[in-house]
Amino acid sequence: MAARVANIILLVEDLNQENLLRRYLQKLGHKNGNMRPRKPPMGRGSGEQFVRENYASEVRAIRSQTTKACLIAVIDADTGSIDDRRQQLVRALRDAGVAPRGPAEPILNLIPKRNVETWVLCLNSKVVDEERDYRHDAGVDAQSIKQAAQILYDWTRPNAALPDQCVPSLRDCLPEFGRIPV
Amino acid sequence: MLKRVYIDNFGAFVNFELALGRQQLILGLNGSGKSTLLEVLRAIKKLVTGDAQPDLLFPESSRTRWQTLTQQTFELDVDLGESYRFRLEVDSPGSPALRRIRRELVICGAQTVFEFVEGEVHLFDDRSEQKEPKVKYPFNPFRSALATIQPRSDNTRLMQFKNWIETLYCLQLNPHSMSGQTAREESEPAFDMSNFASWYRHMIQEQAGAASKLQDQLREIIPGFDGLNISSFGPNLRSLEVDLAITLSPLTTIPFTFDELSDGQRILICLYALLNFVVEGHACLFLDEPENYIALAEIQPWLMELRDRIEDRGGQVILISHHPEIIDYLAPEVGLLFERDGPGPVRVRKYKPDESLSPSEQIARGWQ
Repeated sequence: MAARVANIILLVEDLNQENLLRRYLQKLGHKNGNMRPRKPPMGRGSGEQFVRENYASEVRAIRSQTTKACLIAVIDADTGSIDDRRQQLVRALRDAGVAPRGPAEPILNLIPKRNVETWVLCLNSKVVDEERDYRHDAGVDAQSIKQAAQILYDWTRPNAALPDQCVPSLRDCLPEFGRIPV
Repeated sequence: MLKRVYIDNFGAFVNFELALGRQQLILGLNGSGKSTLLEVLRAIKKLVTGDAQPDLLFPESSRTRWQTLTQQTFELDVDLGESYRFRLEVDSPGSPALRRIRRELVICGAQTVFEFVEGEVHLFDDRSEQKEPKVKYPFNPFRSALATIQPRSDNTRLMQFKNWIETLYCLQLNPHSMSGQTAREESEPAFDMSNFASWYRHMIQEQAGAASKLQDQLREIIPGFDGLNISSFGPNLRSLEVDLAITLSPLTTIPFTFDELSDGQRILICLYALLNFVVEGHACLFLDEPENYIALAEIQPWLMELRDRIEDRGGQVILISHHPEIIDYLAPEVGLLFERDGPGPVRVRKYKPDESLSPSEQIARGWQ
């Protein structure tokens, strides 16, 4: 076999986002060696800025690859709207002179509201409120993230029935997972 | 899990206290005390497992140069479901060259379960709350009395600590010292893993499932890797061999001895072997500069595997590194910075990320 290549780039704000996605991708059969997490070096706080600022260059980079590469960008909506964040990513491409994302392109824009911890709790069967900040919730730890990845895998399978407690931002993002190359 | 290390009067460690979590990255300039910390922990382990005596492990020359105090003090706080404190005091009451154990103490919860003080051993029935020793006897202070304690029905709590210290590993991998030949099994990896072949020979007997998982991982990591085998080439002599598939027509698998692999390949095999054989339960692994010799693309995947392993199987890993790839990946969450003012005592603090610079850039500038 050839030397391994990172063909899934994870552009994330923090460790919780990275861990949820890595665990999810492992469920799909991907190996750590094929993933390349990029997260802000300065810790949480300016994470969304890091994702916005690096989004266009990562899109350009994966398009330049001859091998099949995929970009997964995760950016919390925080107190704003999901659509605001989505438009920020669109603007980031436009400002950098990079063509917009194609409808089936392997570029995922995941926008948890209020933050990824909301998704982790929701995936662990908790009823959550997207306006509330769960970043420091005691229910979010390595084990609950691992469990959340398993449920996320179940919810992204064909014909999955979503429970009522699935928050709108997660429901909205589920089709994005179909962009991951098989 | 090792929760706290206390060192007083050893090298540049004076009244030094270090709190540890499941995973940490220790950062610091050369001479800041990072490797000396491993030296201390290795010495404590050797003492308590009976491998060496205090005058060799804690010689007079290891005392802090600017102190007149002769006593050296070490403490380990360990969480094994119950909390333990081990305290060791070494001094030289007569001739400075004669280093003796003044006191060895193991406390479990609030109860003393072992004490060796001023040449007298105190054994306790650790099933009861009794504060008085059950047995007292004199013992040679130039050896560890704790090392001589054998398991009994009344010292299971003490033995839990003794068993834990055998799973404390302080390693600095050196591919140049590794041999592919082995004359016997060895249950303990040498500090530089020079005995990797002998240790692996032991571990495949003890942990066959982990050995199989290791081989699966190596197939994904090392191009052409097909298997890691122990082959006989004489009475008791074995050779560690790696089968590599060579892209010829037809595809051919050729055995290479472990010595024939590149430095980086040998280190990669060791790192993944440690991951699979050592990192679990209460075991604690200190690794000094694990990234030496391995390709940039291999560092982050190993760190991710390490994090997953700790989350899934337990274990504790403390890395020491100067490498930007490791620093940038781990420092914001688990970085600890060792520092000294000139030749003064070692201090430690949590690494504080900068708002605009990457951790490695911040450290390269000396702005940490």
